[in-house]
Amino acid sequence: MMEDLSLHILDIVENAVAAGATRIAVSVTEDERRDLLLIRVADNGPGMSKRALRRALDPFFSTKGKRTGLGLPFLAQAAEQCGGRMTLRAAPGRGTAVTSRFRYGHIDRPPLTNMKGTLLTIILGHPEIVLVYTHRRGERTFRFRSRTPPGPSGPAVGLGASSIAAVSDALEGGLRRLGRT
Amino acid sequence: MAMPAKKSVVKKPAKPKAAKPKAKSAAKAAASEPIKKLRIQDLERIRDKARSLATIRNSEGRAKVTVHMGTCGIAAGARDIMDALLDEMRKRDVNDVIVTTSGCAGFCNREPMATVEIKDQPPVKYVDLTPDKIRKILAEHVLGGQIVAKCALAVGSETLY
Repeated sequence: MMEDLSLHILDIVENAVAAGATRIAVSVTEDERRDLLLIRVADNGPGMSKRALRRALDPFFSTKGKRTGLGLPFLAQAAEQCGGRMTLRAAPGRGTAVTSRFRYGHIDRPPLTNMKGTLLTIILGHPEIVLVYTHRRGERTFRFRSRTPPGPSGPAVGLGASSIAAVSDALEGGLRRLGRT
Repeated sequence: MAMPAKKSVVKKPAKPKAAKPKAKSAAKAAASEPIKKLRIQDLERIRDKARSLATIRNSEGRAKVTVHMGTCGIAAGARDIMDALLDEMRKRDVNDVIVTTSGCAGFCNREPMATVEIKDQPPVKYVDLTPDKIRKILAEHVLGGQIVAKCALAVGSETLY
């Protein structure tokens, strides 16, 4: 189990990119009234075979040679330790969706602190993918969509200091409005 | 002469009977997981995607820094390395260095790791990184051309420090 839920999200997204996904949707819902924290990562990658899906939560199981095979088991363990659960939906050619439910107020729930670092790493480390991020906290919602330049709206993602500054400022502003930085 | 012929007649039908259930289960498994056939349009899409990716990756950068972002790397602090690298690039107004991430490099006990590739030079793998070390590597190796030997594991795939 990792110290911060944003690290789990980064790990799952890195797996999706490595598997060949080009569009990844990450959504985080914090609902204190219902005592619920919901994290969903869905991609348009190649999905999983029935056999891989059956074994995806087995520690050290991986379909790729060098990978450690601990990303999904860690997340499942983190969810189960604080009264939640993880579900996995995948089919060959139809992408994969990982949904984790946590009890928001559980004492053992890992914090969700550095989403900005996770999103910067994904967006600037993989300018070739489209990341759609939706974060709901109570009544407020922050949405961010990355894309490769040129494009009509939003900060362009590409090389260089100006891109880093644009994406970083946009994320910081949006997350601050949610009270998340 | 007649005995071997009789034996072979008895044995032969037994083998296909035993093999049949296996063949059926394999066929069922294959049917449940269909393999998608590639069409011409798919190939064109793959070509366009690879071409756009190559444009992003290769055209403008004089150097590429890959931060290894496997589960082991992330648990060891690779995201902090990436944060420090991007922050330093922003501060120094660096515009021609490509930053990317990859999976586990195979040395989980030496994470966080990064690989620096400069045009026409062999790649250098750096291990046991900290935010301060990656800032130094950006300044001295990526921008200055001098390998930071204290942090390096290997140059290319054979030379060890």
